[in-house]
Amino acid sequence: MPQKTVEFNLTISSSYDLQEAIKFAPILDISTIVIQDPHEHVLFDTFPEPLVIDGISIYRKTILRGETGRIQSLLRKVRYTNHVVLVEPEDAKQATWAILQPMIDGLFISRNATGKETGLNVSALLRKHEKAIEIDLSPILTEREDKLSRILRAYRRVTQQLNPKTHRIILSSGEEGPWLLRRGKALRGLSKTFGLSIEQTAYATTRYPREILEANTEKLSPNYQGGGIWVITGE
Amino acid sequence: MNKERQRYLAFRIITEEETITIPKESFVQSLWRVTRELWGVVGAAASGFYLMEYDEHFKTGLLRYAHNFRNELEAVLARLTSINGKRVLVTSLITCATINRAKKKLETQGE
Repeated sequence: MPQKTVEFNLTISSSYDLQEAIKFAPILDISTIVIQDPHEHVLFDTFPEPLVIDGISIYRKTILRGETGRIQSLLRKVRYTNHVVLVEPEDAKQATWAILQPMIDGLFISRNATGKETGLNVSALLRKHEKAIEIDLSPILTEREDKLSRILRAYRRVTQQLNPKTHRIILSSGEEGPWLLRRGKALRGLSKTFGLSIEQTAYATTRYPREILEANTEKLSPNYQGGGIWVITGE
Repeated sequence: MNKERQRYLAFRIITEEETITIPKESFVQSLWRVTRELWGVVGAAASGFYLMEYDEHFKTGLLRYAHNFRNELEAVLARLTSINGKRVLVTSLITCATINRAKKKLETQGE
């Protein structure tokens, strides 16, 4: 049976957005939504366990942008309140730095990409440290022809450096709100526009995001001490 | 060159307000525009798209396409974000090789 889709990036600008996303989720075969909620419209009283609303699991994430020093200063603060922390790199140097940080789960590639964010070095580090690279497909849904061509060109340059068999490529589409949520199959179809095949993105909306969420939920648990060590309490 | 086979896709359009209707002509125009934007004129020619059935009331329809254009079709439907200036979300209900199965799925949607 095919696995249900994980939407790895939904931006919430009001609590109504989450309601709409939960309404769309069963129609689009989505079982898990990871939200960016900068204004904290959603109360996560179950953290680090996900919030479950109408059978849909909700996780929280943050994408850090800007200068490396600023990201570094924010990192400790956001790591313990979010299931996923990604960095949108400005260049390959910042991408390299981000991959080497244990508190960062991976890179985020969006409409601002130029194609210079990844290179052979970044690609090798991503593989070695098993970090994810998330590609935001919302610009492919919304941008018109000339701008779209530029974005597709940048995405093509980024993904050309990656080997989908060894890199954890994740696809998402909800950066601009719940109306851009799409089925996993649709996201994989869209990735063909920048040269990834359907086979290459087999786990991009299911297994890879789910593995990250499960591992991070475990790590954020108060009983987790690190490196496979747990505090076991009880009778 | 492999012979082109036909496949069928039943779809549903979700709009912000339930009462909004999307005329057939507008949907077809948007479908071709997006197909050309994403896959070019050559891709559009190879797609084999043909809107076989469309229900303006339930906003469901049945689309025929070339079997090797399935993933591209998913991408096209995903990129249909607005029709006639109205925000929409087009989702596929089923893809199958026989028209009867697709029609059955559409009938269950209409109930």
